[in-house]
Amino acid sequence: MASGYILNRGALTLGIHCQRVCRNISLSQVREKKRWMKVYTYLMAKKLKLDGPPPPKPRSQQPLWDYHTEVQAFSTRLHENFSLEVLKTAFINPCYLQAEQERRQGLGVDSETTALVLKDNAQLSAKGVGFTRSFLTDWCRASFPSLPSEGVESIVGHLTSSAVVTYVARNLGIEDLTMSAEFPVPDDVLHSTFMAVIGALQESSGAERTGFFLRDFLVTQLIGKDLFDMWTVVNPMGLLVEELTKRNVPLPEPRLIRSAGASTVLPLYFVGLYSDKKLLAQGPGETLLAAEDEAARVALRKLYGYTENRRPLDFSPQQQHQQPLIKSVSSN
Amino acid sequence: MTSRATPSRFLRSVLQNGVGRYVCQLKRISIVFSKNAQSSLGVRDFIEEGVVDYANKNPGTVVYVSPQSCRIPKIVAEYLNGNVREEIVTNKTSPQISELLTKLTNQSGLDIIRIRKPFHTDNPSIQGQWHPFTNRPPSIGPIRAQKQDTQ
Amino acid sequence: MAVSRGLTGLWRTCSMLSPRLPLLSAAAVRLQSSVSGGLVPQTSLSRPPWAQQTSPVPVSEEEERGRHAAVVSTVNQRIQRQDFGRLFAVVHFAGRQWKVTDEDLILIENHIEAECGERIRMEKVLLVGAEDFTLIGRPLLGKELVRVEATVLEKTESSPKVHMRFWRRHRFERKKIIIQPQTVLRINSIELAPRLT
Repeated sequence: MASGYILNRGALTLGIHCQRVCRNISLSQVREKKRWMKVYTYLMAKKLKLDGPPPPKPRSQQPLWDYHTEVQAFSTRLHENFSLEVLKTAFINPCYLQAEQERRQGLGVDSETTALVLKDNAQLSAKGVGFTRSFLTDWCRASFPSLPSEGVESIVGHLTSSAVVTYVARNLGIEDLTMSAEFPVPDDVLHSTFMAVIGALQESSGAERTGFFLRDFLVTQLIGKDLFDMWTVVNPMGLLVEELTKRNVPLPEPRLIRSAGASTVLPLYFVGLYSDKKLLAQGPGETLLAAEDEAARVALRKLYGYTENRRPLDFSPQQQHQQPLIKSVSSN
Repeated sequence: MTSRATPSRFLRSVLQNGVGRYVCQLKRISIVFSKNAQSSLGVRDFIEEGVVDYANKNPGTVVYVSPQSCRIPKIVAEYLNGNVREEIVTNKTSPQISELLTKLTNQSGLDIIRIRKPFHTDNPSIQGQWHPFTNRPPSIGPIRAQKQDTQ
Repeated sequence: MAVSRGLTGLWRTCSMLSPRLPLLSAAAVRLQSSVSGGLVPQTSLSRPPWAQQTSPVPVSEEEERGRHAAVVSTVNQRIQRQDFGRLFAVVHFAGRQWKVTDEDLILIENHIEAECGERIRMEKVLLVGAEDFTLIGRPLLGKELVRVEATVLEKTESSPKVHMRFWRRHRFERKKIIIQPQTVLRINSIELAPRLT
C-alpha cells in the first residue's frame, strides 16, 4: 500500500517534472544549472528500485532483427539442410497463434484482413517426440547391449526430460527464434519447439541425418553421467540377485574385506561381493550397509557394461566428412 | 587485487562442442557506427571493404550493420549461450576491426575470467583411483606395518 | 642396520600406542640417528613400512625373451580384438605433457595455426594406457601404432593479468596488463593399431 502510494506520488511528481522538462526545453530554454536534474534522477532511481528491473524483452522485439536471415543462419550454423518453410513452421507454437489471434481481434479490424495463415508445430512436435524416443532407445540398445529395458528407459527418459532438452535448446539459440505467447519462454514450450525442430529436420533431410543431429547434441549430454544418477534403483542388491539368477551364476556373498577407523567419526569399510569364491566387485562406504549397497552398484555397472572406464561412445563424424581426413593421412 | 580474489571458473565448453560436430558459437554480430563521425572512420572503411567477405565466410553468423548518430562506434557480439559482448571500436582502423571480428568469431562466449585448471576431464582415472588400500592384501583392522620385526 | 630397523619399528609402535609423549619419541629418533651414524638420519619414513622385497629368481635370457614375446602377442591380440575399454594417453604438446582421454578439454597458452573446428593429430605420444595394459614409449610411441586426434574449439584470450611494479619513495611505478592468447582443444579419439613389436 505504502509503496503504491509512493509510486503514485512518484508518477505525479514525474508528470510535473516532465512538464517542467518540456517547458524548459521547448519553451524557455534557460541556460542555467539544471537544478531539477538531481531530484529527477533520484526519483527515477527510486522508481526503479520499487519496480525492479523492467521485464525482459524477447530478442525479436529488440532493434536489429531479421527473422528470415536468423532462421537461415540457424540452419547453416548446425551444418544441416533444413527446408526453411518447415523450419519456420517448427518455431510457431500454438500458444503464440492463439495470443496473436486475440491481439488482432482486439485491434477491432474485420477478421478477413487479419486472418493468420500460419500452421502451428503441434504435428511436427509429435513427430519429433516419436522419432527421438525410438532413435534414442535403439541407440541405447546398440551401445549398451546388456542393459535391461528399465535402464534403457530411464536413460531415454533422462535425455528427453524437460531439463536436459531445454538446456540444449537454450544453448543452440532456439529460444530466440521460438514464437511463444510468453517471454521468457516456458520450459514446456521450449521442449515442444526443440522436438518440432527435430521433426522438421527429419522431414527435410531424412532419418539418418536426424539421428546424427540427436547424437551430436542430445546424446553428448550423457558424457560424465553415472548410470545410477539417471536410473534410481532403491535396492541394488535385490536387482543384482535377480540378474545373477537370470544368468545362472551363484548368488553374491558379501564379505567385509577392509576396514579402517571403525571407532572414529570417519569409519571406512570395504565390502567385497564374492560369487563362487570369485570377487565380483568391491565398494567402499561409511557403514557396512552403505558399503554393501555401493558394492552391489559396482557389480551392476560391471554387468551392464556401464563402468567408468568403458569404451567411449562413438561420436566420429559421418562418412562424407571422414573421406578427406583419411586421404590427408595417407598423403603424409 | 590478488589472483585468488578474482572471479574464476573451470575450463568448459558449451554443449560439449566438438565432440560430435563443431558449431561456431557466435550467432549474431551488430556493427553500430556513425555515418559522419570521425571516430567511426575505420568502421566505415571496414564496411566498404571487409564486411561482405566476413559474412560470406561465416554463413552461420548474422551480421547487422546499423548506421546511427553515435559518437562511439561499437561491435555487439551475441553468443549461442546467451552472453553478449560489446567491443568499443573508436578510432580503430579497418584491419584492426577485421582482426577483432575474427577473435570474436573464434571465441565461445563463455566469460573471460581466470581459468583454474588448464584441463578438464570427465574420466579422471582409467586404471583405478589410488586409495590407501591399493595393492594391499585384504585385512581387517588398523593399517600398520607388516610383520618385519622378525629378525 | 638391523638394530636401527628394530628401533624404527619400536618407535612406530611407541608413537602409535602413546601419541601423548612427543618428548620420548623425539628422544628415540635422536638415539636412532646416533646409532645408524649416516649422513642422513634414519627416520620412520626413510624406508617403506612393508618388508623389503627379495629379488626375483634370475632367469636366463632366452626365457626372458620368451616371456616378452608372450606379453607382446597377448597385448597385440587384445588390440586386434579391440578388447579394451577407455584409453588414456600422455601427449607432449605445447611444451607440456598432458594426460588425456577421450572427450577431454585442454587449454594451451598460445594460438596454434589450425583454424577453429579443424581436426589436428597429436603425434608426440609418450604413453598409452588401458585398464589392463600400458604402452610406454622410449621416448615416443610410433605414429602407426597410436593416433590421437583433437579438435580446435576456440582461440581466445586469457583474463587480463596486472603486472604492477612499485618502488616506494622513488617515484617509480610501472603497470603492465598481460593478456595471453589461449587455445582450447578437445580430444576426439585415441586409436590403437595392433602393430606392437
